[in-house]
Amino acid sequence: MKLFLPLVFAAALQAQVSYEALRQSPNENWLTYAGDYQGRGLSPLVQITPDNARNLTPKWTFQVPGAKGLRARPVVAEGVMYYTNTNAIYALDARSGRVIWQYNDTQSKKEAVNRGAAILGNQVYFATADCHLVSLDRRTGGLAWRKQYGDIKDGVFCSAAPVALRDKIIVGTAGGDEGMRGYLAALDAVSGKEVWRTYTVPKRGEPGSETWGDYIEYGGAATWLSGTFDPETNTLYWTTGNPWPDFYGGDRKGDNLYSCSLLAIDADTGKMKWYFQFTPGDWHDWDAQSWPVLVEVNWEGKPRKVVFHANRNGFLYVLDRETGRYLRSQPLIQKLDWAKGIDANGRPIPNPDKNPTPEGNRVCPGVRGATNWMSQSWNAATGLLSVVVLEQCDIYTSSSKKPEPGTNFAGGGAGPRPNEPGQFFVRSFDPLTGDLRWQYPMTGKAEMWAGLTGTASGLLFSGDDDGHLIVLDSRTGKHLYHYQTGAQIYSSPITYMVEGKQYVTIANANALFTFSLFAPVESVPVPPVKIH
Amino acid sequence: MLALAQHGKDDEKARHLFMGDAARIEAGRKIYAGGCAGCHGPEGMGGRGPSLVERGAWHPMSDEMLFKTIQNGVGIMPAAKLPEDRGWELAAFVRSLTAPAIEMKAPGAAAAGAMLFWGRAGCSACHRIGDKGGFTGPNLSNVGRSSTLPKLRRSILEPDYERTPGFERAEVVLRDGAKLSGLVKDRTNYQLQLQLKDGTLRTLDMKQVEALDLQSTSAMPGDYGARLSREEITNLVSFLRQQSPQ
Repeated sequence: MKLFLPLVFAAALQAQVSYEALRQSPNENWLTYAGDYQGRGLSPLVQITPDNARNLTPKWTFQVPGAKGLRARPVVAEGVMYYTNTNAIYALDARSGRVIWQYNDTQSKKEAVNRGAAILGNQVYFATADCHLVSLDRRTGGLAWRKQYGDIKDGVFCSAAPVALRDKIIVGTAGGDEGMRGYLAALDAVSGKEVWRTYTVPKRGEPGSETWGDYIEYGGAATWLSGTFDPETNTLYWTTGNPWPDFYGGDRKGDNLYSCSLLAIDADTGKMKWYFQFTPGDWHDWDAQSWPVLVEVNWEGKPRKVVFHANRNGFLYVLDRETGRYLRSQPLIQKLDWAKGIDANGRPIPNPDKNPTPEGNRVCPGVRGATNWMSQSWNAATGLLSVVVLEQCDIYTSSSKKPEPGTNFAGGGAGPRPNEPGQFFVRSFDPLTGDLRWQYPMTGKAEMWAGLTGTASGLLFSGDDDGHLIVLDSRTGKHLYHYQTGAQIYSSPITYMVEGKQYVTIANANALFTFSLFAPVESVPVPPVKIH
Repeated sequence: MLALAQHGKDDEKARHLFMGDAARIEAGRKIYAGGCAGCHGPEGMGGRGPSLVERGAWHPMSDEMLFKTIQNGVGIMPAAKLPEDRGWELAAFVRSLTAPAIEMKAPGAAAAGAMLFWGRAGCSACHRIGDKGGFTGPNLSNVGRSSTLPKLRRSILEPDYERTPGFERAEVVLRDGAKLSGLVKDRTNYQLQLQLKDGTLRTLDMKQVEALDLQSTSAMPGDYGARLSREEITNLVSFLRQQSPQ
């Protein structure tokens, strides 16, 4: 059969989002989940400043249909915002929140949170909960393809925002709390064909498999948070989750490689360049899912490429980014009793008797970790890394019941004593010296997970534990602005600019909220509209 | 039970044999026209009774529940009490009103339909499938999944019956004298999102707009029923119902 095209249409004039553009984000656009490839969480925009932030005002709200605890962070290109929820994506006018198009994936066999979208060329990509990467024409929402890269029958589901590279889309997997084998994969950006797949738990018999036991096939080490990327060395930095069962390690005595780790991965081949394991043989569900922040610093008088990593286990690490070598660490929190410290090789020195027990054992930090997956902000001008941290201890229980994958079995559980609730703080550290420069304590129920986004003008945008968008002075932690959104916040803010106006957007559990500096509304005359 | 059904818990159950079977659906259509249409409307769009086409409320019902609702009635709806096969034929027709076209059996030669789509019928001048075709009509890359068979056929024969939002044609005169023409993706008294013919999106403030001239009727020719033979329409539907990329 011969198909012919009677009319040739010129390619759209709208600028395609090139790899080079992705490398320059964030600017007026916010093109990737993290804003930039390196996870630094800092926008160069300076229209909103510490002096005028008090004049912020809400501009629009988008009630996300069916939202239940939104986790996603938007991306913005040329005035259009792309926002995901479970098996759905919306293209919104970033100035007004009005819907330009939407796509609901009716074929997905699962529901789960979704963390966001990726853009490359004319396409926008997101993952369905049942692990299909969906490629849509970002101008129209037209479906190009949906390619499967995971099977829910294997205990895998998908929530991570994809990461778009030059010609590949990198995707992660979730499901490590119920027994599965974690991996990340690269799909060709044009065809969706899987180019490589790298498992985070070795096969039985492979090097590293000796660090597991009988349940290695269900080891977990999921990859549910987007990684960061160094374009100069073409290296992905991706974190892995807990080993399974979460709270009972008696059947997996050993380090359980490569769970609770940071992996450096060659983006072309998927080959692991190095790994660094923060919590060997974890019993506390301390996934390493937190941003690997890629920076260049002056280290002992020489420029050095390092990665900062604030870990759920309570420590803030500095590693050499080229070798994975441990450089230093420090506690993020005061309530930290599971380890005495970190040894010269970066391995924790555990305190005795701090594993979960059948009758319950109080351990700090709690299961939600000292920090978690929300964004951090590094400002090279001030030398400060700002992190949202949780001071909390939990009672950890364990069960030696025979593990059964796919049955919600986690080997135990954890939660705080009702009379010892946790507390959130924003803390700004000099990660090279360990100095805590300032902290902003929060009130609330210790329930939220809002991230941080900084600006070159010296601001930090975040959410607090009472459902407010908050704006702080990034040098001092001084409060500048707050706005009550009406529900808890589990997402990280972004900032962008359209037609000369800077906006800030954050999602609470149910809706997107966008702010800009106050300007009186001009009366809009209704123009003559003829409808034929 | 209903609450469960509404949350989609039942929709994975095995499908009844008649579902998607064109002959059974046709038989069901006749039963429907004789009894159900009085309340639910000739096309199932509702009237005195609720619409059967609105997916949300009832689509996730299992085949079994749909059959039982027909046979036993619900609320003021009387029980149909049909012989079992007739009841299933009616259920198959009701299901066909909302089932994705790709899941339904349909006659016709898809290859001949593709020739028409990309060629003589001129569809691709406005409609895009994959990375080919125009921007001035709805993107049809996934139309086999997002549309039903009856809706597909009707949108070819009667394009103005149900207009897809976002395709109102606009001529815009701006206060600075510039003129734009495109499709209104969304419009309020304060803002206008306009897609130009090449797919470029222009987001405008209405205070920039001097005058707006809207053509709200469908741009699609309404005479395909005369231009194409019955067989050609069937072939075109057959091609379109397969459009759902994987």
